[in-house]
Amino acid sequence: MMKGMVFAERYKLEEFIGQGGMSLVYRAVDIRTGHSVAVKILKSEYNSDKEFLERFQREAQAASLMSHHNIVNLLDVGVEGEYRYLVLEYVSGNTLKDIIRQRGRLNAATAIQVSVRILSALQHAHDNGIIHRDIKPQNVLIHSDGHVKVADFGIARMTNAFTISKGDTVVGSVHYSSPEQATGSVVEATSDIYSAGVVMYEMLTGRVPFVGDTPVSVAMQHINDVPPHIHEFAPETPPAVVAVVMKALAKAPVDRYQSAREMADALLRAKEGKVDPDAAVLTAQTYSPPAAPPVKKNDIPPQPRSHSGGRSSKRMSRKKLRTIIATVSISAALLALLVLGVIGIYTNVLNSTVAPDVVGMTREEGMAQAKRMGLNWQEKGLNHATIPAGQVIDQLPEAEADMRKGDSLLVTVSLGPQSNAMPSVTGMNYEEATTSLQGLGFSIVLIRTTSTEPLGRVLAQNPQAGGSYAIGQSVELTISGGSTLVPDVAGKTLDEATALLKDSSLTMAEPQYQEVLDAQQVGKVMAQEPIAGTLVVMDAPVTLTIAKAAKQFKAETLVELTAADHDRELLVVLMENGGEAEQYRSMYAAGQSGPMIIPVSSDQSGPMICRIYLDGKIFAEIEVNLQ
Amino acid sequence: MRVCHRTHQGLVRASNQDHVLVEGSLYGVADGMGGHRGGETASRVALQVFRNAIGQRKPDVQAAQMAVEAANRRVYDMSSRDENLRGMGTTLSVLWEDEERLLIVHVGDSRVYRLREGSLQQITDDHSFVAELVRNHVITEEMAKTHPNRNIITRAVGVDPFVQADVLEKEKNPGDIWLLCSDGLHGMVEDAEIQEILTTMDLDAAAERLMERALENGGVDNITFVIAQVPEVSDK
Repeated sequence: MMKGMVFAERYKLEEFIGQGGMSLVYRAVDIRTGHSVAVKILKSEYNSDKEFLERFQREAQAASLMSHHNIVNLLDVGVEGEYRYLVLEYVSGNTLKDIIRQRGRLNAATAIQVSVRILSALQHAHDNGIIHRDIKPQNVLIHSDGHVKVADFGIARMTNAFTISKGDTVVGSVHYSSPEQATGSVVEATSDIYSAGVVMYEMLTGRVPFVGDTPVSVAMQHINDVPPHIHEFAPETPPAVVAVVMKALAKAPVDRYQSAREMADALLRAKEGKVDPDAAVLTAQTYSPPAAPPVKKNDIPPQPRSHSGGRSSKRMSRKKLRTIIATVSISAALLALLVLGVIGIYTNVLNSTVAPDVVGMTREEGMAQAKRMGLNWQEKGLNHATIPAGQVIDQLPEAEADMRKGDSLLVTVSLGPQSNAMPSVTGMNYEEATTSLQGLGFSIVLIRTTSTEPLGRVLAQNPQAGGSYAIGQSVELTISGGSTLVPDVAGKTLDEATALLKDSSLTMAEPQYQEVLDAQQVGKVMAQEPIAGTLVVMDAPVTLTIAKAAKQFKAETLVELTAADHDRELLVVLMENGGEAEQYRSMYAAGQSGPMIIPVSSDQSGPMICRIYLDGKIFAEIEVNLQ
Repeated sequence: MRVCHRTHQGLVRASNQDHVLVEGSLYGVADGMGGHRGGETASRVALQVFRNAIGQRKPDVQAAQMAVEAANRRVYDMSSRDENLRGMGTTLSVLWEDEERLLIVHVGDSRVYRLREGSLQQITDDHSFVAELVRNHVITEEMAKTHPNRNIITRAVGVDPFVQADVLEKEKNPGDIWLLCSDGLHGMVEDAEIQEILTTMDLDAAAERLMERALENGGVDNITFVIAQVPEVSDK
């Protein structure tokens, strides 16, 4: 652990955040400013690996070319002892993937907001000749104050060396890769546009456009298939928005938007088309042509002023007036930005507000709060084992986050505890069964058994199909497979045999010992149960019989004890080779008395001293003659 | 069989994560991946467990499957228990012989080739993303060679709780040369050149030459291979 280390006398590592294939990431404090930063350290084992060094440097180089409020910016680069590191902006919050997972899907307005920011980051990168190549929701960070930041520029090129089928990275990335990436062709900025289209599709529908069992089947669909219509999953999405996403998802790069800016423009236009009728009327009435003549590209944008809404407001209450002014102002601002083709909506206008804290409230209380703050309420139900139905579990953005009126507060409301019908999974393979049961909230207890059925097939389930069970209910699956062959360990030492059994996924039962005369055999395995070649279930115990040296010379000793008022421990040893060889150990009950004959043995013959201990103290020493 | 094997770290990687097995009736290569220590551990353990599970048995398809499962299970268990080994996995390509025949057990993108009568043939299918794209006619063999995702493999030992191995049975023809290799060789040296080297040189010289060529062409990955030749029938 590197926690506590200080890099460049400035960055104090405070908390391990995570690791990628080649680097470790820590949250650190910049001692000079007191701000949190992220320090990304190349694993020292790769210091002598040219390929990784080159990649790490390439990432630093790419990052150093960029500076943008929607990009996780590079702050510093350095070497401390054996560690090479990058210092990046620290973003506290969730990834877009987390948010989609929690919310299911986002409404069109929110999806547009997020997309426009991603596209703004991409435009900046593309202007600097950098193609991201790995745009996916996992790489889009949503700061707890709502800021959107795109991470991991240049990483995509670095994921190639150490990837295996399973990692989320690979399968995850395939879902967002463009047809030209899938075929390994030359990749240009329009490839990032495609990926941004996939991300937007997922925000709107809660699912990626193409799903499949293998990365290959997903890649092939990206190349050949038309994605399912967005309206299948999100029927309320405005057609204008759907059209933008579909254009971004065109198979041929030339058919897509040719720049991120172009796509962002199209999205903002689609959003305008969706403004509700009241607002549209107001805009038409109050924002008259002189305020927004067709502006040429290089003109300075007219600064929208709050007084532009003044004249239609005389008869209205002050509160309502403020709302109208706000709406008008933002429309004016948007239109101006649009005409200029400028992206970036961080214009401070009058209609700012903050997110209320609605977690723990009932739905009704929460909605009232949101309304007071001028926010829309967008909710999603979620079964919860302990939180009563109708109570708010979670919200986004968090309380006190800066928002604008008309924005949506995304809320998760408890549907109360849930039970589900038990499906039949018998006959499925283990992975399907697990997916199906876990999808219903059941947990799984796995029992392996040897069987001639195909490996992994579910042979039985308990409880059986039918009937309703609470979430969390565990289901016992008996599956075929996990069988292993008992290896041949005869003649091996105990240590060797232990290792062999472990390698074959078997456990060792308490070994048995048998005396032998052949000193060469001592310590080796004489017999095993089950025998070698037997097919058994993994983790089955194997009993070994180990040879131990026979003591050839014997004698007897007589111990005579009188009754006592407490139990005593009796220990008999032979004084042998300068030490004590234990012969007999037993508890001797309080009232018990009389003589005991105790056999002793050794591999030496002749007279020897037999020492008798009672409760750890020498009680007697007797000479015996071993023969 | 007459056997010759080599393993080399290559010129770029900081460690050698390949392992080779030549013991009794078994010949194998394994190319580990998943971090520094993980990759080396996965390939070593997989070969050991496989060998121990086989013991002194004769080639047998069911036993081969089970030996792969044992190896898979062991690597998977180690990786789920040890933070430093998390996510490791390995390819595994093994040749298992008796007097008459050969059993080929295969997972991943290492390869088994056979040279018969001067012609080199790849016997195993690569379990890789690009190879599947080629098999599905999405891209050509040529495109696969430069595809940025050519290192993604779709099956590996030790990554999932279960693994499916390809098990092939082949006859043992006198004079056949078998080559098992990690992608450090077949990714660096073209099949045509491998064929020429194996056809024109004796085993030891061929091994030297193959290693030399893989290094000359960049040596960007660990290079490991086993060459085994079925003896010619003696003319008694």
